[in-house]
Amino acid sequence: MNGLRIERRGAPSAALVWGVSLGAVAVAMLGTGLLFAAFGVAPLEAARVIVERTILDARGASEVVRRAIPLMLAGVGLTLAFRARFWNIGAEGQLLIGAVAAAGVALFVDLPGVLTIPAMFVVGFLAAAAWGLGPALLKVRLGVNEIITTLMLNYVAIYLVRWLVNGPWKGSSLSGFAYSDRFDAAAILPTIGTTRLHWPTLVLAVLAAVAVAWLLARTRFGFEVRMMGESPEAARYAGVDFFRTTLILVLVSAGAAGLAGVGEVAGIHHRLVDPGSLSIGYGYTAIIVALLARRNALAALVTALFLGWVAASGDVMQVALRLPSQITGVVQGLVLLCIIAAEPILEYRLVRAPRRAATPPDAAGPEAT
Amino acid sequence: MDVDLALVLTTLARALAFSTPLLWAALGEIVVERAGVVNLGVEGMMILGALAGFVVAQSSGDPWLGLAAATAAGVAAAAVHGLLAVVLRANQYVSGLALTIFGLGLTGLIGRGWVGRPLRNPMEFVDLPLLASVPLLGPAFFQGQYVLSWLGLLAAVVLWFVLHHTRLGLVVRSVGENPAAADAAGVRVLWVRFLAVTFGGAMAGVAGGFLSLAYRPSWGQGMTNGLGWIALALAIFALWDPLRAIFAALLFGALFTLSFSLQEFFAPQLLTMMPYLFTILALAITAVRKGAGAFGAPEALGEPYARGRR
Amino acid sequence: MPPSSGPQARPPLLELRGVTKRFPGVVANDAVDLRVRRGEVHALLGENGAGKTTLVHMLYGLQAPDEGALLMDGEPLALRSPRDAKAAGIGLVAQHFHLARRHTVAENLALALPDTPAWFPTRHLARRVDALAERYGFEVDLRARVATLSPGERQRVEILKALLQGAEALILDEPTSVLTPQEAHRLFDVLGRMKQEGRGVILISHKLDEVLAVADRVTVLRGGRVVAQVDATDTDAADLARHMVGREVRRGREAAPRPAGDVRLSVRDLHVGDAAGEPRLRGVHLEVRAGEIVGVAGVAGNGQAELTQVLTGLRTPTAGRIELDGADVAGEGVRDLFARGVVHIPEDRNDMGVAGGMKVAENLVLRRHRQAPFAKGRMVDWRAVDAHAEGAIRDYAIATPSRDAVTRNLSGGNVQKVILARELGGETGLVVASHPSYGLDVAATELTHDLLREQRDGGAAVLLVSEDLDELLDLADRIVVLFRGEVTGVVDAATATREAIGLLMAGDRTPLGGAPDAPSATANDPANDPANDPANDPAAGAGAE
Repeated sequence: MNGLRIERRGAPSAALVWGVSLGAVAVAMLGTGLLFAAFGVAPLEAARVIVERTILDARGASEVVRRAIPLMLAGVGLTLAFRARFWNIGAEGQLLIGAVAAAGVALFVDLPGVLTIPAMFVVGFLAAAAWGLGPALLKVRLGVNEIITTLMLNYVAIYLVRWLVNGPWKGSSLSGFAYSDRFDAAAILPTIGTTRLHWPTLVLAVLAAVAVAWLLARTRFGFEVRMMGESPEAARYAGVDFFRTTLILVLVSAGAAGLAGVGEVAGIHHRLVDPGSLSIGYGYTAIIVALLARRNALAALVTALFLGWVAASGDVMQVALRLPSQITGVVQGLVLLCIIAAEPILEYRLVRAPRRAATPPDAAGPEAT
Repeated sequence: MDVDLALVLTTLARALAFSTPLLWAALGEIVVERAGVVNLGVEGMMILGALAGFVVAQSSGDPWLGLAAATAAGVAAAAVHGLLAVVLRANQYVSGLALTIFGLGLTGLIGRGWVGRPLRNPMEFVDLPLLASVPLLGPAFFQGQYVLSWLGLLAAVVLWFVLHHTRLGLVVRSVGENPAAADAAGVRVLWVRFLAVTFGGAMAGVAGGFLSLAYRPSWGQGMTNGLGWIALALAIFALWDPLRAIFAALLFGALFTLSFSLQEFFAPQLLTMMPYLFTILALAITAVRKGAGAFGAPEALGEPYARGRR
Repeated sequence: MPPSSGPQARPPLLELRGVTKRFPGVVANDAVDLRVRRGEVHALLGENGAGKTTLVHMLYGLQAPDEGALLMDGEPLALRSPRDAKAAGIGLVAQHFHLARRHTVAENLALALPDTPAWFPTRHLARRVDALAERYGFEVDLRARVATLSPGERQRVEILKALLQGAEALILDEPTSVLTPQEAHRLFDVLGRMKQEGRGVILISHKLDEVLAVADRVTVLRGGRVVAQVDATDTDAADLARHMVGREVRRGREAAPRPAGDVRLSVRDLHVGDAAGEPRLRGVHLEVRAGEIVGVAGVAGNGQAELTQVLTGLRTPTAGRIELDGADVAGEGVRDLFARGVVHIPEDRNDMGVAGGMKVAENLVLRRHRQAPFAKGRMVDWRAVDAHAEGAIRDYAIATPSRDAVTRNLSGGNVQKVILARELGGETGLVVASHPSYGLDVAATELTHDLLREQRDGGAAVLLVSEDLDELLDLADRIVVLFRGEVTGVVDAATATREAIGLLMAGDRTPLGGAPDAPSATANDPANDPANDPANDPAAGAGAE
């Protein structure tokens, strides 16, 4: 270590955070370009086609936004959970459960038309929140690792949906296909023009982000959530009720993912479909949305748009460039890997060491016992 | 009675096959976690191993060459985690998760051309000489099994021995229990942890290779289907002990196999949920037992080590 | 009788010549000379910050001296790492044991030894350990898991480790801070054996009694310099204390301006158990009146931490009564107690006292965010928070770039100011201060002390837990001594001697001369004189840091 030493830095400036995040994304994009080349597609040409068909084209842009909608809702919920270091990896399952609940309302509950959609959102939120309850209770009561339990429930949710669309809820009109009957018109969300942009869900997503940001920034509850995440010891000292706080924030986090599921069935599919078509891994991508947004709910709107753009680009690549759709997953994984690889830059810095650095970097304090 | 016995033996035999990838991956994660590192990328490493194994076996015609490739792929993926989580001290959970997402995406992309084609020369069932003719045990475990199933059992015993009765094992466990003490004893903590992580990758690679070279034997996108995550839970359920992992994996295999004999009563989709629900149940049971004072996780599990910081 | 009593016969086992070590802004060791002979226990005495730890780090290869030389048996020695030190025959038993708790004793020993076999690493240990154990009168169960051992047993494992590594010179850093007196005696017996074998022992301590009891020679450090080097037989406690502190009279002890008022805190027969159900406090009685500071002294780990936790709501008592201004508050949580005016300056200021990643302004209301003016219904009024922060930063001279700066980046003294500003800035009834000046510089220490006196003068009841006897003697009106979860005595701080308190800390209830009121050691007799109140306080000590 000649003359250089690594030390912890203080709070990184906002500019550094943005710079590093953008840098990480840029590196991931570079990696994607290399992948393109490996598949025999000229990267720059591919970029041109993608930009043309996503950002510069109205319909393409609407696809970006509609891909972003579930990411916003689920991602915003995750920012809240991650703030308190509850690693909810179960947004995918929670989203599916929200969709199931909404489909249940649409298919089997007779409501006055104007109430159908609100009821679907409310029930979807509640069902998903209930789905998140188990892992939350296991975590606060028994200390069971929430990462594994929430993730396991994703698979349970997938098979639950699969069972429903193949069994009890299988549509009567379309034999041979694994999906439910089509919803009545009252259970279908309006879209903008001929696009698939179900704007009520978008409005809901923006409201959710604002609400979560407001909750964290303005309320005593939010202050306590941040305390828990920053320093559990200090939160205990400050008298934070861990049980109640964790439960509430997990319910909100899971519920938000449920809303995303409602939007997908009511806005896009108009019926309960196979889980693989219902969600293209939105719940997992939402984790990246939340982490890239550095657990900031409003920033999650932006990062959701970015990852929605990645997903929409995946569609374009499939059609226009004949690249497999799975490239989306690779780009997402690359982005996430690059972000965490860049994290140490925010936490540590290289400094010129004095001539003789104390051998153990921190152990050497002048204070005696 | 005879029918019941036959059913039990068949169930056990199928349980062993089903538990094999779980066992390999769980054993790897046990070593990793004993060294104090959590790697949530097991699923990603497995799927990379499965694809690498399939591709090499398909083009070379040699499944064992495929297995070597699967192992290497697991090691390479694990090295990424080792670099991020051990050396750069990034968040271990996020890093492992990223590995899983990346692995699933990359294999989906690369493996597209191989989907649906059966492996031309898969690993075969074999009988283990001598042991196969032992009554009861023979039909249950030693007739018509994959070599990798037995090697998995052997690996568990060897790992148990190494962890508990060799200097190497002592060093690995010490790094996971009290890295500062290990450091003071002259152990290169980060290096040991990094190697443990890559070893875990090798084991996960074998687990993935088993799926695409023997169990299936073909390549399918996302064919690991959460087995990596179950293996992670198994490591906890087995209380980080390789011998207990044998029984935990067999238990899972048996429950899963049994649940399929309920097909006439339940839809297959509902039965497929079972391993995932068992996993949650197993974790809850472990947590309750831990509360009762049994041995828990390695003390430094999940904590990055930096010298001089307490 | 040390065998090498002919002093000129051979060079000292370990010698420091003019060793100097500087850190930015501090000279930790200034031209230190130290000679440790074979067959002697050499005590290194000094207060916190005197430079003892730095000296040990240099002896053990953790730090290199800026100037000066280190010699062993007359040969110059260059230590680049603890490995070198071990190879040269220098062993260290640190305050924090380097043991894996879930390993067996044998496994811990095998890990540390260089010649451990690759297969069955613990197989040769029994023979070697038995031989040593017999020589030193140890009993060691090699198969026991460290987690099941007492601190004293763990320390013996560390000593064993050093001996197996062939330590000729053994450094023990505050070895008795975690020991009961019985365990301490067993330790001293072992040190005696080591002397007989011609090894050398360096005993780091700030406890005068034990130094006088076991050491042959004493070197006193103050401000990084050697201020005295004497034979233990030629000195006494008063003499050593004067060297350590550098003055005969204690600095500005200011008595309370008026007599203490009504009893605010009354603790009766308080019992607390730890997670494993072991009793940590056993029938503690304690009273603190309005306008008085009651100090709590004791060896670390005698129940001090549990007492502060119970009084501040972080832990639930198993039995007993806690009355605050006449109301029974036993079992109430942090939130309720804080609302009653129980404020807490915690021992662990960086992890518990503040949330390091949050803003200074936020930490200034960390516990007060439920109170007006910071709470507006379920909201937080950030304008009030910011205004409060501006005021606090100004009033307490908190050195921070801004109220929005991340608290983690402040110095220790300024973090403490944030805590003090928050805890003492509102209504206070009972102030529980745990090691409030530990690790602080002089100015911050003085501010802390002034603020505690101010609280006292304002009518609060102050409970001060400290390991620094001078701090207790300067600030407190009465000092309660805890030993193994029980109060062994209450003394009047104005007249008490260190010796008397030391005896009480060791569980010896015979009061020594110097405490004229002859404080009865039985905690239960409520004398009328407030100085003799049965203030059985919780804990004394400062944990081994």
